[in-house]
Amino acid sequence: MPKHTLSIKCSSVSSSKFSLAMIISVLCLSLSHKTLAKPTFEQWQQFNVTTLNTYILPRYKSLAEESNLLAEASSKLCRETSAENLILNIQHFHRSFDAWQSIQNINFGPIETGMRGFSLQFWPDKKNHVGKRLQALLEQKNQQVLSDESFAKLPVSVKGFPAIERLLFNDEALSLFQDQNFRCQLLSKISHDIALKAQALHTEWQEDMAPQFQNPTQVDGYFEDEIDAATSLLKTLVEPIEVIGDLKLKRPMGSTLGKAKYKRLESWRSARSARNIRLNTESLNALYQGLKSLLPHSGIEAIDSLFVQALQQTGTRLNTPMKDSINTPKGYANMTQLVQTLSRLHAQLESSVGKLGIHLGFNSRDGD
Amino acid sequence: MLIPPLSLPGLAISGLAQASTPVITNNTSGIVSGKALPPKTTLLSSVRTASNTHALAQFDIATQALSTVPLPSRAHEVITNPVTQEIVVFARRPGTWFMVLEQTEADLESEPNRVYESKLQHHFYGHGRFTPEGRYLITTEQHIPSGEGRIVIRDRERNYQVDAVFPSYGIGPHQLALLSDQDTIVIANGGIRTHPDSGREKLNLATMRPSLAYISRTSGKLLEQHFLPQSLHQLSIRHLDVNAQDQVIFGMQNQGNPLLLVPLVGSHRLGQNIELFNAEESSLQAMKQYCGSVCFDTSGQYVAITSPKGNLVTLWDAQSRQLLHQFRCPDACGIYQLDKANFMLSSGRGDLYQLNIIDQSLSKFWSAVSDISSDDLAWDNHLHIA
Repeated sequence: MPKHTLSIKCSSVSSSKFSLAMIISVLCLSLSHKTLAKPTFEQWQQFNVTTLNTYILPRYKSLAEESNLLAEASSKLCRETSAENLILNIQHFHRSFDAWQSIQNINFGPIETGMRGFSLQFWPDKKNHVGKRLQALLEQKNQQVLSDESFAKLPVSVKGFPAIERLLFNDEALSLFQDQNFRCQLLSKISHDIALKAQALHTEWQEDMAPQFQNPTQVDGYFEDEIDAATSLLKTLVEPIEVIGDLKLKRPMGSTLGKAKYKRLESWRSARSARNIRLNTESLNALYQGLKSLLPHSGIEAIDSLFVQALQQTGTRLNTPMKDSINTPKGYANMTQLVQTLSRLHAQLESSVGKLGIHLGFNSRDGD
Repeated sequence: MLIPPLSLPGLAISGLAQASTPVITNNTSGIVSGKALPPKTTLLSSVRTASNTHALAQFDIATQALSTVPLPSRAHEVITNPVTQEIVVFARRPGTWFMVLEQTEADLESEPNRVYESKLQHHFYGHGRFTPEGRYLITTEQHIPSGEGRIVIRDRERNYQVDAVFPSYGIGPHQLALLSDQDTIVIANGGIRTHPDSGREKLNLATMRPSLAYISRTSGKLLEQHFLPQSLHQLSIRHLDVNAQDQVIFGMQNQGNPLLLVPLVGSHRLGQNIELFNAEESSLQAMKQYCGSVCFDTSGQYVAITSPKGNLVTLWDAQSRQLLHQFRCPDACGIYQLDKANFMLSSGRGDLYQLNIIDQSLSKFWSAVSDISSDDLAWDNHLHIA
């Protein structure tokens, strides 16, 4: 068998990034088969801080603001349970859920605390936890659960957008809210809890995470260095594309048209399954735009065009609610096409990012 | 559910049990013969290379020279024969080969490496151990037609012919270890049924029943078997290590509800009940329901456990069952004792880290990106140092 011997020239990892960069560049010259210039620590730092300030913070801010308006709208609905106020509440549901879908890809940092991610959106809900738990609460009509202390102890599945969606997107929503005061109070409590979580996310990103990005090499810091911080961000660009394909499309589609299950679609009740995917894709595209200047030129054109395709396929062809189109040959074919586009986009992004020396995860994804 | 105050996983957790600084004794337990071995010099692990192939990597700790040997497919654990120092690499499940290499040879190419097939309609689970005198190789395997776990003993002196086949008394036997009597094998029966026809798909999550089984390697007799409580039956017992006092520490992977925080580490001694280790909610959350590797320190008092899904390594006191410290360590999974005070860790990002038990610190030891020719190397799940 052939043998590959690699002798390591650095005696230790240099503490000075400049000298390390110099050694690497000398080695690059001596081993000219690999000539791609990788971003410097300074370039990564610039990418990280720019992404923080122009992508993450504004989006969490928007989520906090929209969720606050949602909470206010629910209070208003409970004070005056009218068709007009219900429509207003539904509008604010859409706006706040839009904001959430536009930052749903960030899966590290404050979102991990106290399972806030699940608590904002428990999905996919394979065992109908949301339905069962919500129904139990509605039947018990126990005012006590509306106190902060008791509400905090409720399972996370009933504390997020899917529970609100069930309460709002019901043909008899208005009369049910009018007949059952508790139902509206529960809606309002969940909405206020979402607002509190969204506010905490924004505050903690500003106060706790921002300094970690600004100084990623600090002692006992969240990150190891600039590349580690950049890797965390790039994971939130690349991995969600696979998740969207797998969970939001392939799982409801099943193996064939005959096996498609619209109830496995995300947000099918509010008929926004396609809208979610479009918002996700727009958000990921925005994150990608900030990375573009660091990527090898060879991949940029393909990624650009795949993003354009994916956006077209979510925006124009899937205008009929996905819950209706998924069971039609044309709708199913369109979804199949979108799955393929996302799969190519994922592969292209992963390969381009890999060329920058970024490892998105090996053991973390594929252990045993 | 109470929402705990923000504690970023990478920051030192002040609420942890602040045990006094560990005392490292001169006890060289773990070495069954009692003889002092020469200092460990070579780090061995399966790796994924830049060209997306799989190889055995040998890394000289002193000179930091790295060499690789191609492997037939992705591998899992690498072990060495305690007497001959030969290297054995096991295929990752559901692989059917193991490879034997002479470590002493300067040039790994000079003698053809020997690849052995599992036979018996078996596949390997990727783990094995030598008996202390170096003659018998013990592996965890699946009998594919029945799906049952098997423990297979092969005789090195007869070209690794199968000497005995015993039941593992469970499904999905994963890591195993030998106790100090040199006869008792402890087996982590992970409980998960898979079939090569469906790759690594888990076929029995609703009914899985992991266990720790102790069998005699000479008679195959079941000596003791311990199960988790029914409420935790979806906690797959996967990796374990044993100290000189025959305390077994095991790490688990939760296949159940990801929202329920469950213990992920446990301890057992023959004749006693399983003890599960508790930890702060924030620490359990950070471990992401998953332990990758389990390793005692040389004294047998401390255990380090990797949680690659959480980019985390945790250090535990095996006696007091306290979590002492946790460190953020990106994509780290392989771990092995280096010397009295240190563990070495390996990461999928190509880095090696040293975890010092005395000052409870983690530092980078080597980085694949420091050399252009080893760039994009990813250390696979398990690490061995000989």
